[in-house]
Amino acid sequence: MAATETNLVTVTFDGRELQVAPGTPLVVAAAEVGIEIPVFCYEPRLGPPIGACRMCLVEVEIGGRAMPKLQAACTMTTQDGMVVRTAATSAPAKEGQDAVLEFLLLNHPLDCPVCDKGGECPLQDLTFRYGPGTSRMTIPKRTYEKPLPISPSVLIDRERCILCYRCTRFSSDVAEDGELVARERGARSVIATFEERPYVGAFSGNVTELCPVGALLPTPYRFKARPWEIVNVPTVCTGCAVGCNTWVTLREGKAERVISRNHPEVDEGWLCDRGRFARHEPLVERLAEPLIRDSSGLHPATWEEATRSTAQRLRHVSALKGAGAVAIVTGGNLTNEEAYGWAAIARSVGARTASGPVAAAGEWERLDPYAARIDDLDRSDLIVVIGDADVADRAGVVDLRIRKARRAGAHLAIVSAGGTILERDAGSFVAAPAGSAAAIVAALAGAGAAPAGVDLADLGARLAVASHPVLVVTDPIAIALIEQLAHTLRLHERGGVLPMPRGANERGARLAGLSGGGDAVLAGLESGEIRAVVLVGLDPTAEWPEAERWHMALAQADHVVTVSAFVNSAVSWSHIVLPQTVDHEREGTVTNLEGRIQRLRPVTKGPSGRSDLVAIAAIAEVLGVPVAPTPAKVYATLAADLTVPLSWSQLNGRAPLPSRGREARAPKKVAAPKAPPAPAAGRFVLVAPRPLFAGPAVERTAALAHQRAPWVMLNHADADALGVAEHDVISVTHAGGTHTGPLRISRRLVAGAVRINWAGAPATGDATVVRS
Amino acid sequence: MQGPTFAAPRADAILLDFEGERRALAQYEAAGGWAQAKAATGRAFDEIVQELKDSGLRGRGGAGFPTGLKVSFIGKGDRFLVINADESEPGTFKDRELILRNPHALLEGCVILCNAIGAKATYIFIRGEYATEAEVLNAAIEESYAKGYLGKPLSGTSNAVDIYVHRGAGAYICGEETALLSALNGFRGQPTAKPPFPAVSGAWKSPTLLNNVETVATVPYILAMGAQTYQALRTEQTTGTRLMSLSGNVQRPGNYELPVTATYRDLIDGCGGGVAGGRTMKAFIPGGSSAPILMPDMLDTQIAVETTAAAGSMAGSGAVIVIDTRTCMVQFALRVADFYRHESCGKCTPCREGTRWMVELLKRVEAGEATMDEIDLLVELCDRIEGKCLCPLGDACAMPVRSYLKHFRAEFEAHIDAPACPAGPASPFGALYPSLRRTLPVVPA
Repeated sequence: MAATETNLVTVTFDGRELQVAPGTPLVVAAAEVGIEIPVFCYEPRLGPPIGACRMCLVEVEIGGRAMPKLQAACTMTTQDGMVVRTAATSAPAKEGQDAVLEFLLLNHPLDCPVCDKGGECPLQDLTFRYGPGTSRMTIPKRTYEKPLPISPSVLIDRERCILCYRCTRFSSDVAEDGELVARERGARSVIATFEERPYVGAFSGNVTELCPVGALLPTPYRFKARPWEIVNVPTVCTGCAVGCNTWVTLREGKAERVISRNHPEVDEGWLCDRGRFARHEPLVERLAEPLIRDSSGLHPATWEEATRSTAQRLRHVSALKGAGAVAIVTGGNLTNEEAYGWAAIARSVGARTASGPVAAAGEWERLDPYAARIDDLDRSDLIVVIGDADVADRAGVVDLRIRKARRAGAHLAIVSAGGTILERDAGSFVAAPAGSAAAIVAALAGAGAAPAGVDLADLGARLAVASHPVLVVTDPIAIALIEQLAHTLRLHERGGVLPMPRGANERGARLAGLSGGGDAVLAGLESGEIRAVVLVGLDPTAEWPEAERWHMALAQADHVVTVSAFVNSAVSWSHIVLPQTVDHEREGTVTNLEGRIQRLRPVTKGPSGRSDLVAIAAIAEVLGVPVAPTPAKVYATLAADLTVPLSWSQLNGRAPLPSRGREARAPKKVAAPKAPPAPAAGRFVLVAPRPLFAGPAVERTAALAHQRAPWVMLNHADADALGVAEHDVISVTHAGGTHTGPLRISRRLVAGAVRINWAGAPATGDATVVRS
Repeated sequence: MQGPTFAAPRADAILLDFEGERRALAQYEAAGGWAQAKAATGRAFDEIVQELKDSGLRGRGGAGFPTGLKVSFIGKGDRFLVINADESEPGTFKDRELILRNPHALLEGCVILCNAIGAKATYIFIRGEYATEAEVLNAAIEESYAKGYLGKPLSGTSNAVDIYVHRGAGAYICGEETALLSALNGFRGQPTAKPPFPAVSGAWKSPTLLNNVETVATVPYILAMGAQTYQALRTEQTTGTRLMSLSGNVQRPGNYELPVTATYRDLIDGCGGGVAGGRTMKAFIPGGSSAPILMPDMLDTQIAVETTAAAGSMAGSGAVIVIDTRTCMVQFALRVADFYRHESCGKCTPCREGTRWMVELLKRVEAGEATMDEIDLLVELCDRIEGKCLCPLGDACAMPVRSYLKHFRAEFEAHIDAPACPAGPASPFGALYPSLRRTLPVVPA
């Protein structure tokens, strides 16, 4: 500690002395002694301060010499012996602050009573605390057409804009999409999109939270509520396995908005547009009551009938056909407590289980000794992303974290078939045949040859010398292969692997006992060994590979029980349908990709009015298995079973991630994967990783329609050979259907591949490409 | 098309001590050109820095920062030299003439400095409107490449220098060094907070030496005559000669190279032939439109940096604007303020909002619409802009307007007492603001 202390400098703020690290922004240092220096443009998450708004002007004296001008306390940093006088004690600083507030309010419409931001607006708050009571403005205010959509999900009111440039900095320096820019200059400067095209980016909604006034507002929340009539409930997004911390805004029994609840180790205050805008409550389309099929079809039933019938059928099949005749299949979207309940049921009837589509690609616990935390990216010097899927599609805001690490100096190496959004800014890019992620991982682990034409020498050399490499594999390949590579690279000693589960709580579900993969269940159904199947929060015919086979397999099962929030195509094969709750109707815990256990809080009640856990407990009770109907009790049991060190009450606020043991055992050797077959002449290899904007909630959200707009991507040489140009409408026909959209031409997508943002059942194989 | 006519050189001129143009490389070589670049290759960085420090040379772009000191600040790494040829301050046109008449002096200066700091490239950022000047520079650069002065090392050094001309897109703010570098690096031309200073992070985020055209063009001459000789021509804190751009209501406007010991009277009366049409001088601006105005009783001030500062203004870019008694100072203030409002980049609040407010208030004064309070408000507005902005542009608007209010407050008040501008169409700016009153609603008495 002594060494650290000698590195500190002494700075005085309004007479209060402070020991602080040199180079700390004055606004931050002042806060440490309890002095607020108001700011508008300062936001450390957006990169270095820019000193634009001038709200933080202070008087500074260094070494007894006063600096001639007022200094911006965001860009000025601490030096030893500095004496800082803020507006509280310095008349010049006060004049500077008054000046800036007066200037900011000159053209601001002061329409707070009708502004959605009113009541939670930094400009309003700071004006109230520091501002003048009146205005000396006698000239007409600047006016603009308003509000204008900058995208279907975000509106801009340029009259309210105080040009702090937070939004454009987010676009250019955080999301790095360059979509939002400042146009014109001086007092006529406006925030705009390039050539008035909509702001299309997976993270565009964050600008509405960064905006310190009511200029950028989320379209779905416009005129929906006033801040004094809402309750913000702290919960966690279950859109993917990142587990971003959120506040869900509750008004009059409806969840109206999702905003970030910054967890620096997880999301750093960012949300993707799917987490922010996906609507889970088109209640009219929700399944509201249990259904049981009789000879004339599905009919409403009571919960009591439906749960009892489910239990009896499972017990019946199990008793008659023996262990393994029942399967419980989930998509990895249950809470830990629900998963525990289903696992208990599975044990009692000897059921097989699955929490993901492919067993080998779901063994996440194998990576535990090598697992990286999300914030390991901040410390990494080398980030290696292998796979055809984009990181943003698999794990939303991790994309932003990787970009941040790259800006801080980490080398970003990408091995993929090309055409991802992250590769544009990568330090090195290695083009690999589509679908070759497994072969690449094996080759890097020394367990196989690299695919023809792929040179991994440079990447191997970088991996060998990096001090904190982080490995990300975005494609669903056998975890044993990744484990082998991690072991070869000794990632238990430096850096680590970031797991990329598909389901939001796939890791938690496996730990609670729902291990296994859909591939085995499908085979069991087809061979007739499995006679009864429970599909929990999942429609394998829409979300998993082999959709057609699933349809046929479900059709021949004796009993299909579907637990779902929305009507889906599996319902048509189901004998019993139980309504399910969604995201912010649930209580319980989820385990994110790092293994961090976080707490979900119910914001609203589902249309059925019954929590999933109560229904699970009812089924379990019939089977004679004790499952408590309340999450806290189940969690206590679960935590004891799994030796989770955190108690229920410790899961409040920002959940910690206790460190784990990193003893690595030598993994068993895995056979090198076969190279994907080359397509027949005139056909293309399909690259269709499931996009971020997919799934039942996204499909039902108007504000996300533009994000789902289909497109087709081809290599420029292939496009030339086909005689098609950018924006031509192209049809791609593959095993899962036909996808039609405007053409994007890529120079990095490998020749012979076609990339599509297909949101239907995952498809691989080959495809035909024609101009439609 | 008739080419420009240039003023006859003065005996004590250094940069422009010749008749006509010296655009051809052969002409420049005949006059002893490139000898200094060749001679300097063997000299160490510290030696050149010391020579520049001894010469007392100060930046000619406006701030007057000691050049030797600036060169000594350059950080370690891949270094670049950037020439600020974005000459945009109203009244300033000296670099333009220097480029047209003596472009090779600038190029030689660039090579000397590049070799001294070990930079492999110079970027000349020239204002977009200077199309002919960019062509002249490019022609001179081409000739220098052909002759082996550029693109390969001179004998005695291993450093090969490339020079690129980068044309601006018409923004005054890009004359500010950090905005210039932002634009050069491909971003929006807006200033950035310092630190980091260009000496640490400039072109391509590398250590960058950024100097004005005239400053760098002077370097070969200093090396030729020696720092001691150069600095002998001096006031207390300024040395050598300056190119002065003379304009406004003056008999013979143009560029004149004067020793820094000369006075504004020498320039206006001696070189410029006094106020045009034999009229009376009302005031003059000594260093570009952002400099506070000076009254005729200050004409005997020397044009040096510190003497002009002592007189209550600044030597700035050496642009002297003469104002005769016909001029309405409210209209003049409006013209000046409107320029800065138009050129404000919009990044920081006081400049963006303050300049617009100031212009709107001045319009009201000019139209006879304002109240006495609003004149006080104007002064206070100057206080609230000055020293509070990210870059000096806001100050450049507030400082001159404050000086007009200080010296000519009665004229502003007269606009309020009278129904409209008393000077009216007689003012040289009358034609610029003829319709202000007509657009206002007529209020019955």
